Amino acid sequence: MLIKEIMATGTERPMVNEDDCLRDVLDEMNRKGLGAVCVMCGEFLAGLVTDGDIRRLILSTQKPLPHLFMTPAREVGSKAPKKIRPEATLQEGLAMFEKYQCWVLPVIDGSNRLLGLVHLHRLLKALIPST
Amino acid sequence: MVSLVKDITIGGGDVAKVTIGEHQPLTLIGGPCAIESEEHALFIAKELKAVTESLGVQFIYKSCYDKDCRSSSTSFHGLGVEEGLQVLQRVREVHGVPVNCDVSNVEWMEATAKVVDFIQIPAYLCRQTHLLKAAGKTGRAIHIKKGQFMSPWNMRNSAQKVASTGNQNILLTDRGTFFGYNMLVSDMRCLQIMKETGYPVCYDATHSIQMPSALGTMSGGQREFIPALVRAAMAAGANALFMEIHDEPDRALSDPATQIHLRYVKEILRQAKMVYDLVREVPLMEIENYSAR
Repeated sequence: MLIKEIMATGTERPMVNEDDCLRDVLDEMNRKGLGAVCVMCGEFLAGLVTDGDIRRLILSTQKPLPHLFMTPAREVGSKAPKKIRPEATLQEGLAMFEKYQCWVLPVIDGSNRLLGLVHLHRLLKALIPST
Repeated sequence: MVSLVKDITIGGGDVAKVTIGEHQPLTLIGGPCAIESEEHALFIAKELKAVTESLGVQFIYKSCYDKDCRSSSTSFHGLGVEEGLQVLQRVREVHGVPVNCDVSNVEWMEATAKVVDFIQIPAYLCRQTHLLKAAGKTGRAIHIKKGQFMSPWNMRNSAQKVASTGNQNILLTDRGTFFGYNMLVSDMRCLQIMKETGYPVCYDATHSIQMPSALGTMSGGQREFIPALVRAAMAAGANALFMEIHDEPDRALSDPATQIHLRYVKEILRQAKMVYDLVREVPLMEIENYSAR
């Protein structure tokens, strides 16, 4: 089985525009429930914000919350997240999750267009159907 | 974090082109609060043009045809759109300087944009989406005053409303923040925080010392604080200075308590420029905050 068969696609994908503010990022995170949001520049992936990024951001700032909420998405999280290709196998995906100790991987094509997002839970469920 | 601030341009063509930015010369946006007459406008513009030229300061003439936020409905509001714009056009023709005028009503926007180089959104209206978008669509440079009730970080929303029209020629100005009733305070952090938007910032020295509606049917003000606040704002990184200036402020038809006398402008500007230029020679330090480990 391939990554493209299990990845979250279409409106399942958590996405914000890079100009959107952190408050929008958090709302999108809550709506999609994958613990991460793809930061987009048009149809291209510009970054990734995860729960861990938010935790580290809160611990590293002294800004009042309303100020923090106004931070543009492009300034939050990773600008060069680990990514995976849609043709990768589930085993290759699992190896990446293990190697990079992450929970989510954006799925992109050769031009950095976002195709989907794969979460470790969904990958494990596909690998071990009884779970 | 030290923010990257873009340059914006005002005027050009028939009038002088003014560029405001981090590494541009200081700009004065100045003039009487309200347009009182053509003769008066031409006189003040002539005086301010001479003063700014002598100091190497860029100049945008400021005055308004309808002060819609006066404390009382019976206060002088101005000459009105048609007559006011004729006066501003004369200032442009005679002195060759760009002009700034606040616009409180979407219906006035089209006519204003035919004359005015720099469209100002009044502080009390800085959240009004229709007004901001109408201003942005004119293609003119837009000057947004930070509401006295607004946090500096929320000015990103106001700027984005203008920018959503494709117009990114935006200046953000601090004019003081409400400190209880009838009183304003200048939080110099506003300037650095508003720069996080990427747009240049300005300090309004005369409205910042205003005591809103403190005289009942009109606003008061403590002009004695203007010189110190101007120096502080320049040190804090303002890219431009806004002041309402009158040759007889006590007799001005609008905001008499806050406008500064013409005779003080040269020395205030001279000092402002000294601090402004010094700040540009010495990069702002970046210091890390406390961070939980």
